[in-house]
Amino acid sequence: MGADGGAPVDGRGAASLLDRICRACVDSLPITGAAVSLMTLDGHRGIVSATDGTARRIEDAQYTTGEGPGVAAFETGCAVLVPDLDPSRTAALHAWPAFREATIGLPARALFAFPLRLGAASLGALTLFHVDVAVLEGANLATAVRLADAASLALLDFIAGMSDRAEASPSSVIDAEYFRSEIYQAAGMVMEQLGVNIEVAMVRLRSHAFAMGRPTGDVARDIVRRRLRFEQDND
Amino acid sequence: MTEHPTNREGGVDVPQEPTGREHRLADVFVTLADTLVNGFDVVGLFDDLAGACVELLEVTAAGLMLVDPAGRLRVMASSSERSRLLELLEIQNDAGPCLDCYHSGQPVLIGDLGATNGRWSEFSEEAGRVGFAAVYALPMRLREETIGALNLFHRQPNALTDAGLRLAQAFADVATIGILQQRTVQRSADLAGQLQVALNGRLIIEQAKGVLAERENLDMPDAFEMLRAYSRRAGRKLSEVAQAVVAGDLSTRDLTSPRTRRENPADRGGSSPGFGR
Repeated sequence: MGADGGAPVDGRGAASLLDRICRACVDSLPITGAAVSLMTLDGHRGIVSATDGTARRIEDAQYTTGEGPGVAAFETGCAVLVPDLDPSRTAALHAWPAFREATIGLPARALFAFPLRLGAASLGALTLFHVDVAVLEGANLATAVRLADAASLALLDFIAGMSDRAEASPSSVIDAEYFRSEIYQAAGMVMEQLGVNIEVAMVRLRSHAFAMGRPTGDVARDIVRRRLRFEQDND
Repeated sequence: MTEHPTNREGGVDVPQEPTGREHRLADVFVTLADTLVNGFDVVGLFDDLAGACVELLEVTAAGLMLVDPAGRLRVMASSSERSRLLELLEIQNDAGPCLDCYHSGQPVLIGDLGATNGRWSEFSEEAGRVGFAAVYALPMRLREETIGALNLFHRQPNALTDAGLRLAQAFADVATIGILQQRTVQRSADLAGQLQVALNGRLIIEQAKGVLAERENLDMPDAFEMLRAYSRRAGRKLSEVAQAVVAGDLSTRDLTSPRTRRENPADRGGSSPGFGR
């Protein structure tokens, strides 16, 4: 991702938006800390936001060991909920021996991770932890999923190098336009036009709209109606 | 609807159905049960349900909507991918029977859209322009929670029978069960996670449509039809096919390969009613 020399990665505005989203997770959910990591399928990872040192060290452990709840969420596209990391209470499904080894002594007993995806575009993961045993369900889980949606969009903006999101709130990020079918159709078309993967296509669509000062949905509609094409050489 | 001159005695208003249709109904439920028990694909199941509504309830069009975590109704499947039907489904996020159905958790049955006295004015006008006289919204309910709705549209007013509505509610319930059934397959723990996976699956379909539209110079409905036809011919899950297209693992040659083609290819899509632009 980003290997095609797209928009310059500034992303400070989007990063601070991600900070606010992580903070909103802590404020509105029964958890201690939260972090967002950028991931690619070829194993590149980077922490974009973390609310505290423990959250950061959990991400570091996942980065070095290549396993853990965030990695599993990223790879499977499903939420991974571990109410109690105690091995005697957690199914073999969440074994992660190296990750456990690397996190021994960290004050984190419960872990919850959510994939950050936009369709088939896999961008990273949101990982939440709690110092004690904890359950995330019902309305709390719905809130977490909503914040993960916001984080997916904010992470896309971050990768696209958007820097004017300073005033955006976590809830305002998930405006309806982001989930309009045309945006995803257009991204598929851009993928073919540029010969890039879907992640890069989503980023290019977003950064183009940003550079033109237009809503992404409007640009997408132009692409779907074949009034606008992305060319391999420019844009 | 065909004429049903005789009703069974004893009050329950069950029309005598043509035998052929009963067979089709049986086929559809066998397919649905099979989908629920074997390899699972919510997007494909929803697509099948939308088609079954049109075929078995003889409505003009059908759409299934799910509520996302932000409380918006999002289209998961429709009997026709033509844009005006999709837009008609989507504009209900401002006002419409589907939104009311979601909020109340109760069916909203409008046998005659002309008699709604300006309720949902934008939706009603657009429905009229597309050629619909009646709309029925049936909740997808799980105990106290409503997670979406099935929308049925009919060209003629008051054409859907009580028996038809009961069957429609059964289809909506199957869709709800489908969402829950994902859990056993995907090990995700709760309804919110299930919905998320289902909604994202639909976005993958849109991305795959874009890829094929660009590569084959198709419009979006035809791109969808290519996905669906291949999925049926090859016996592969719709969402898996879409994922493979976006990942670049399925070439056009694969998608149109006669080796997987049977005598009776996708029978439904090509005959969708024409809500063309």
